[in-house]
Amino acid sequence: MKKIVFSTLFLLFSAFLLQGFYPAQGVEADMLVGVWEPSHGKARVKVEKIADKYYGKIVWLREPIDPATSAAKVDKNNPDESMRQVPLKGYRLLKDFTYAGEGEWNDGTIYDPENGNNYSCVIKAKDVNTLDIRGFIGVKTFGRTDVWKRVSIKK
Amino acid sequence: MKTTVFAVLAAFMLATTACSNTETLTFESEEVTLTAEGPLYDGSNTASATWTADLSALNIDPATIQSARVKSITITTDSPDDLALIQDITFQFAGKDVSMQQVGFLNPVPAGSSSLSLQIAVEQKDIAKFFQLPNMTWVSDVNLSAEKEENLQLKVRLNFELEVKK
Repeated sequence: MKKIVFSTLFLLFSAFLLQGFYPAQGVEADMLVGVWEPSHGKARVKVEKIADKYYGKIVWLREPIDPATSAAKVDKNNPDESMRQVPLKGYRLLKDFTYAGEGEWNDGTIYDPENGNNYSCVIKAKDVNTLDIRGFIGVKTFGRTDVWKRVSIKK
Repeated sequence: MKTTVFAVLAAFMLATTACSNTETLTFESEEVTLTAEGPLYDGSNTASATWTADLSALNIDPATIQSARVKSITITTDSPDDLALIQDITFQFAGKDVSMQQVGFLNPVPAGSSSLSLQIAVEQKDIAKFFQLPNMTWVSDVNLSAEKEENLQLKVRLNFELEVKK
């Protein structure tokens, strides 16, 4: 009997500790919804849920005007030339993310307007206001992680 | 020389056979209303609607669609004032198990427009896959020049070219 009580207490204590180390484990899928700022601070991205998947679009640019044209910035590096006049404000950078549990969203892509490339991407919540955004080609090992912060901090 | 002639003939016959196995059809959607729920702020807003392609008039099975292309996107509203608010617009398809596809845009929206004809993407991928889903979601992102209290409703009609296996 003593052994069972000890094991149960040990398990509960371990779970409590783990929750402290991995606060993202309990977050809901919709925690991703909101406005986020990448570490460079040049843009803000609003994530929305559309038809059970998550998509993020640029809603704010620190420098919205292209100095070369004196007009609003457009997707000038798009590999499809016919789409190079699409405005960057409103552009969907994050596409097709699904919630995989434990504070992780995967199966999505991230677009880099600075080079016109799409990358596979995994999003991991570090806490309710911080995301690790990892873009990669092929396998996750060969990629780069950026930290995004929620614009309106949730308490 | 003989081998080359034979190869060219074989390629020609293959191409002819392949072509004769498909037919190209045009298909126009009904008018679909995309809604962005107000209040809306100036800047980027999203209007969307779910659409199921009713191919019964064409009498084809969606599984036989080998490729599909969007040929035109036309947008109107009940209120001309709403179109005057729109600075630019992009149009995408979203759906389960298929990546979102940007198929058209208009930037800038000409002043005084009563209807909008979007510029269509030259490169279109996986459009046929959307027809094989139970439904797809049409997503339109609009940059507004001013705030709007009420919903924004866009009436959208699409024209497709479908290549169908006979």
